[in-house]
Amino acid sequence: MAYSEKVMDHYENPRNVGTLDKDAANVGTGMVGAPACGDVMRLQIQVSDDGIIENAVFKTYGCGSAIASSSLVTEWMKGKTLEEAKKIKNLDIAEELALPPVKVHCSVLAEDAISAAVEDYLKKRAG
Amino acid sequence: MSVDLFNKSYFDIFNVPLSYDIDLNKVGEIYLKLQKSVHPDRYANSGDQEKRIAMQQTSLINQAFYTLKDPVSRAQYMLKLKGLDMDSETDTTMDAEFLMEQMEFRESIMEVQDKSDPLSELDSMLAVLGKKMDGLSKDFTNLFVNASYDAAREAVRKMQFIIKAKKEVNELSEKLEDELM
Repeated sequence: MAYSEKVMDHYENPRNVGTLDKDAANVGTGMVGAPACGDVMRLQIQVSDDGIIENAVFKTYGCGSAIASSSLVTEWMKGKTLEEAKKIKNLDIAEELALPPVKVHCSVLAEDAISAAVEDYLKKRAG
Repeated sequence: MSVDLFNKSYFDIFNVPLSYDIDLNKVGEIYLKLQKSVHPDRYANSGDQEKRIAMQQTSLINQAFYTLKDPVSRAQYMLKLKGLDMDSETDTTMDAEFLMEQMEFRESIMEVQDKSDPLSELDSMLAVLGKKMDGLSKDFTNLFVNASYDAAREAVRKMQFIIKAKKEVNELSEKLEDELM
């Protein structure tokens, strides 16, 4: 199966690979996994006091589509509010990367990682 | 053999109890017997319909055998028999600590090439993964017996990550061995 150019671009030059301090109060961490393919994805966001995502980083062990999906969402999330970020849907990701149907679950993984990271941040704020 | 085969569970086909700890040797022996009994040669002089049924039985027996033989697909099949959905690709939330551990494990696989003796490092990784798999198998067996199917499902989902990590370790071992030759 051939990857689209956009997937290849993110795969070869992944954006925002990295780690933020998961214990910091202004950082939210989302860990998700796809048992079917054994992919593991970690997405972290750093949020400003007024609720803007200042930074987003990821680390993904998985196929090209999973790496590209997470790389893409870190680009999309930066500068967005938490509410806006939560509106990023897997179909937007799949469409942007031209993912074939068998790889759509990689974009689901990325969407779930966003929700998990936002929830983790909100939980910290509330706690 | 009767057509009834199609209404049986894979466990019934091989005449073993619905359990994770089945005797795979016994399953293997019965598999060979069953395959002989539906072998196309036996149906050389039969009508088309009988031939067709024999072929369907052959493929069912194969599918049943390979499902039971593989630990993960056996466990998944057991849960499917209890009505759990095991195919869902959209269920990505899991024990975060476990995922973190998996991520660290994958990181250490990537870094192993920089070590002085990567092959022995990989061997000890395989040992660790083997232990984890044994632990999860035990968990699954107990959870299933106690009808804690959701928890049993979680154990199977974890097994899938362990299998994937194992595959990566093995692939890297092979690659490094090739380079050494």
